[in-house]
Amino acid sequence: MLYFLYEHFYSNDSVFSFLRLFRYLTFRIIYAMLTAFLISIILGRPVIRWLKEKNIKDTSREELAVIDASKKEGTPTMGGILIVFSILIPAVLWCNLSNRFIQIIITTTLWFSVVGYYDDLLKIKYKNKDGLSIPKKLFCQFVFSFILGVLLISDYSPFWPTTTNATLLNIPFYKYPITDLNWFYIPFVIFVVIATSNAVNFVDGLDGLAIGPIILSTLVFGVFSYVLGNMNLSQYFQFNYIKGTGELSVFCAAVIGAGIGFLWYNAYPAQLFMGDMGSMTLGGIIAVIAIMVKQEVLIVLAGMIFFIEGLTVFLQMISINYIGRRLFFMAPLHHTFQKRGIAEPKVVIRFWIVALIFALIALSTLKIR
Amino acid sequence: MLSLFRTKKSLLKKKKYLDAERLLRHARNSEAFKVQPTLFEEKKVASEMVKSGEIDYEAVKKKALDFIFDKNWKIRNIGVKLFGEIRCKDGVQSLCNMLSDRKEIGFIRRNSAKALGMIGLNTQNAIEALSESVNDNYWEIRTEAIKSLGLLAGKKSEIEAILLTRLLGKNFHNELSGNEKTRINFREKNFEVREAIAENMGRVGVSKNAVLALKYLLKDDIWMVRAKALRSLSLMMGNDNEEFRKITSGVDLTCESFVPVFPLKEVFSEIVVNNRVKK
Repeated sequence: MLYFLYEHFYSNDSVFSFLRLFRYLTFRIIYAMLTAFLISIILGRPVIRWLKEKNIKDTSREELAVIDASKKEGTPTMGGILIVFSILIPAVLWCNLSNRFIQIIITTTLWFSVVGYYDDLLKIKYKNKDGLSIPKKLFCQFVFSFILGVLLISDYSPFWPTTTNATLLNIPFYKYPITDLNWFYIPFVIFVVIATSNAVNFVDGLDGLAIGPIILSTLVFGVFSYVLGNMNLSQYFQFNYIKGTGELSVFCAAVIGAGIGFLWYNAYPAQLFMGDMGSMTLGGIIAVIAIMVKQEVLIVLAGMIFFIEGLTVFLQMISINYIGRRLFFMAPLHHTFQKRGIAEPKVVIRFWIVALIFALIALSTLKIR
Repeated sequence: MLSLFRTKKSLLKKKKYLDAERLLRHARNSEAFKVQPTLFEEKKVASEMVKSGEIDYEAVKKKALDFIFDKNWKIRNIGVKLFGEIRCKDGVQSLCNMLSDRKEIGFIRRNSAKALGMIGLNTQNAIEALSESVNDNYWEIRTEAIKSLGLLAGKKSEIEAILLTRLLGKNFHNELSGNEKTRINFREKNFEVREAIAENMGRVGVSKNAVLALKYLLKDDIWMVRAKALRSLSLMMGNDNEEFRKITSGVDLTCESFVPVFPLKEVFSEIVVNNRVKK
């Protein structure tokens, strides 16, 4: 919105000359982050109060009895509302809304937040323990990712008319695309979106556990989107220049700011949980940004925690249902560490450290290729 | 669209599974089964349950027998759990067979071991099957077998030797009789199994070797193993024992855990919950 002010009212010799500031990505990145942080800090308390009034509280789950999840019973959940508002308001304020990438990512945020909201609503208001059933949840994610996949390879693709081909597959530490996925690109996009959004959902099990790695992986993709959207930098790092992705770094900054603000309330012992609305939305955002900056495989490094946790859940599920024995003490992996007698904050901090190390490795792939 | 894949057979299978699950939940919630295994009298409980209009004990037993021979392993698994919950002594032999059958599903064997402990019938077959399972390659079976042995066997040197072999290897005598080491490489790498050994060594241990093993378990990396070893040592030696005090004087009391407390919840339970109880 502020970018429009620059576009329409800026003139070098008028009183509106200061509007040139809104042209600069770096300025908008910093202020998008600050705005998001302030919004989530300011809205945090009223949102918590509102959630308490509406009785939107966490209910303890039987399967977590071994680690005494009942202690957290009564903590307001569905903090995703706070996250979504804290992302969307700065995004609308500071991003160039005519940019296709921004339009797609805002749609992503809205889509996943609606699905997550409905899921949370079923769990809390209608006391449906599992919320939205797995097939229904997957179907909602599938529909979105299918449309996204088709859009990215169509004439309406945000990549058009640059030479960057959407269907090329890049991998970290390698300079050139390894293959052209062609029509397989659509199932690939579906897989990336569904896997990432669900993996983030699994990680959201301890106070502050999910939001830390989310901030770090968004930071990585924010840097990538800035570099890839800048002609000089992308040439210097020998990446394909993707026109317009720079705007995504402003959006990433808003996500980081909102994440830090949310962490203010979600830090141990949490006053607020993000719920499925938050985790699913943030997972969807990370996946779609990775797809749009053509670094889909980099999610494995930048979001190593999500990858590991998702993998353990998947393997444990296969093992329990088809082999009839456990592979891990508990899944997702963070519960295994709790079962080993490690305190929750310690598990969380250790996971953050691992996430930080892998985020640095992911950033190093800018140069090591 | 999903209903297209639901055949009559699969629906019947699902119905049987859900029925079995419901029955298990019912048995778990029943007050009649919440007594010590040694105090449990099958006939008395059965007649009391009939009088009070609760579930029919004999019918549940019959159903449990039906479940454990089902083709579906998930239903068999519930059958095994049900045997344990209702403390059915007639099921001991079937449970022993399932536990000893290496081709059987891991969860079923684990639950068989657990059920044997819950039933509490100390038969030769049960002890043999459990002793054999202490060396199973699936850690959950080992853990449950050790726990059940602790409940069933009582103080026995053979069982102690089995646990020590699991913990330290066949040459446990050499490991324990040599110069006192600061640290021992346990053969048993799984902390849950070590925890079970530490917990039950106090119940089955009779010799000096058990005390020495517990002494080494007091130096384990996992604090929960150390805590269980400490309890077992106090059980074996007594809290006032001079040697016990000497051993425990150097125990590492630091650990990676603490219990979070919401002070308000404590106040609430102190005032509101207690008042409710008084009323």
